[in-house]
Order: sequence, then structure tokens, then C-alpha cells
Amino acid sequence: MPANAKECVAPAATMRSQHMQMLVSWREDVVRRNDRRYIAVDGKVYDKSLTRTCLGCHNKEQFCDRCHAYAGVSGPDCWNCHHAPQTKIARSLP
Amino acid sequence: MKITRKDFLRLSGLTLVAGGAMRLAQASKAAVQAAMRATGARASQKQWAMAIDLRKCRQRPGCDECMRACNATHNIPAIADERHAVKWIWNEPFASVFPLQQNEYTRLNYTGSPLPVLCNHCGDPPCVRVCPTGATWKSSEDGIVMMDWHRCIGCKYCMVACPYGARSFNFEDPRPYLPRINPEFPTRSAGVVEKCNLCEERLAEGKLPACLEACPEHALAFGDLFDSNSAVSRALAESYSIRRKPELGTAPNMFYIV
Repeated sequence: MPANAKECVAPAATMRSQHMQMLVSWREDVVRRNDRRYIAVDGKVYDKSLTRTCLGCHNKEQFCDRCHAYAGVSGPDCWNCHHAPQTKIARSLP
Repeated sequence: MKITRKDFLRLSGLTLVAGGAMRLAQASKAAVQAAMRATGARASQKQWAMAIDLRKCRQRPGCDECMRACNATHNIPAIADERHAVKWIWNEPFASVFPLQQNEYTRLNYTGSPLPVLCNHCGDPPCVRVCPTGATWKSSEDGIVMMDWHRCIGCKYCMVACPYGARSFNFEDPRPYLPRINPEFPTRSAGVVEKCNLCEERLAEGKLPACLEACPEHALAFGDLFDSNSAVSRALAESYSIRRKPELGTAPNMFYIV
């Protein structure tokens, strides 16, 4: 759990095993159904957003990348387009 | 289980009948859709549309505020090579926007003055009909021709189908060409097609499209075309407007007041 948060959108065990399904269903909901609000089991409402909600607390390098590298699951290509707030994007223009 | 010759024949007969019934159902669905198009029935509950008042655009020769606002909002790369350029809203000469409407006076009036063009969010979008993956579709809620960049395989059929050239392909990674990045909106990656989304992400927050907000002349009127009280309906009721290539039957939802 990141230092600046007490709880995630779902219990840690669920997130560990189901985060990929959750991200896919969030994506379909936002892009295809214009449904942007996620209501957690405790009734809290979250924005269905990788950049704003997930990465609002988690750090890409220390959280996503570390585990994905350890588990040998490389290749989620989220970051080709989505922003990780802590990461600088290489640009050639000023 | 052993299947007898009689059972086999019965089964194959049933399969044939079922197949025929399915074919028939599909044909009647297509016929209903064609009839809906012919009678001008609504493809969505709402239809966001825009009226662009070129009389106001002409007041400011060389103005590109709407385009700059869009580029900054949606992380559109500034690629100098025209063949690789990505465009959501851009300037086009009158002669190529309204080829059959040009005359000496349009040449006189529109040379050097802005004429913004963008995706028409057609009532019957040809790009949607050709997409093999369902990566682009017309929203049944608000009529926006949407794109799912996750699903786009970059086949470019939609670019061929669009009669307005409103779609661009990312031939290379756009990120090196971004003057600055708006973290609120994703960039795209090499290999996908993109186009104007009518600021769908801003509308969801109750904001108006970025191009409209940036316009110093308030030349753009936006709203629901099916609501006679919306800004766009009122603007269109008051003035004479034209659309791009209406003869193609795509039912464009961008109107130009000339």
C-alpha cells in the first residue's frame, strides 16, 4: 500500500488477482458506455481512470513495473499512451 | 451414441432451415436500417452538432485559436511532414471544402481567412461501416462518432471511407512531436488512426468543446440538434447554412453558416 493511501478500490488480494480484469472492464465502461464512476464495496465512489485514480497513489516504476518484471509479465502497453504522473516523457521539442 | 441415417438427415435438414432463418433475419434488419436512413430516422437519442459561423471567422484572417486549443487539449503532435501529420481540426481552402460552391466571390472572401474543418460526426458514418474490429462506432446516446484506440488495428479502411479526410494515421510515435503534454488526456501510439472526438471527455465533465471555448469571435455554436432550443438549433434556425458533400448521404452534423 502506498504511503499516502489507506485503502485501495478493492481489497489487496482481489487487486492482486483481478486488477487486469478490472482495468479492462473500466476501459470498456468509460470508452464504450460513458460510465466513469466506480462504486467500491464500501460505497466510496472513484473515477474509472488509470492515470488519475490508480496512479494517484501508486508509482509506476515501484509498483507496476517491479512486480511485472519479477513475475516475468512484461508487455502491458498501457504506457505507450497513458501517463504515469511521476514519469518524464521523452520529447524532442522544447 | 450411434446416429442413424434418418437422424442424420433430419439434423442436416433442421440446420439448413435454421441457417436460412438467420439469413432472413439479417436481411430484414438491414432493410429496417436502410428504411431508417431513407426516412431520416434518428440514429441516437441526442445528436451533438456544431454550427460554424464563417462570417465571424472571416473577421480574423489567419486565426487558428480553435486548432491550437484542440491540439493542446488532445496531445496532437506537431509533425511537419504533411504525409505524417495528425489533424483533428484544421484549416482547408474554401475550394476543397465546398468544391461545388466556389465562385469568384468566395475566392475573394475566403482567401487567407480561416475555414476550420473537423470530423462531421455523420448521421450515417461510412467510417463506422467499414471498421473490421468495432474500434469506431456511433454512440447511440449522443451521436458522437467514437473511437477505441485500444481496439484499432491500424488497417486505415476508415481513412479511405471518410469523404472528409477527417482521420489521421500515426505513422510514428507521436510523443517526440508534442510541444507539451496535457496529462488529462492520453497520447496515441504508432499504428492507430485518430480523429476528433468532439471533446467527449470534456462533455462528460459538463464542459464545452475546447475549440468552441477558445474562439475569440464566438463563431461556434454547439448543442443537441434534436433539441430545438439548443444553441446550435437556434443558430441554424436564424441563418442559412451548408454542409460538406451532403450529396453523399452521410448526414454530416457540422454546419457552416456562410
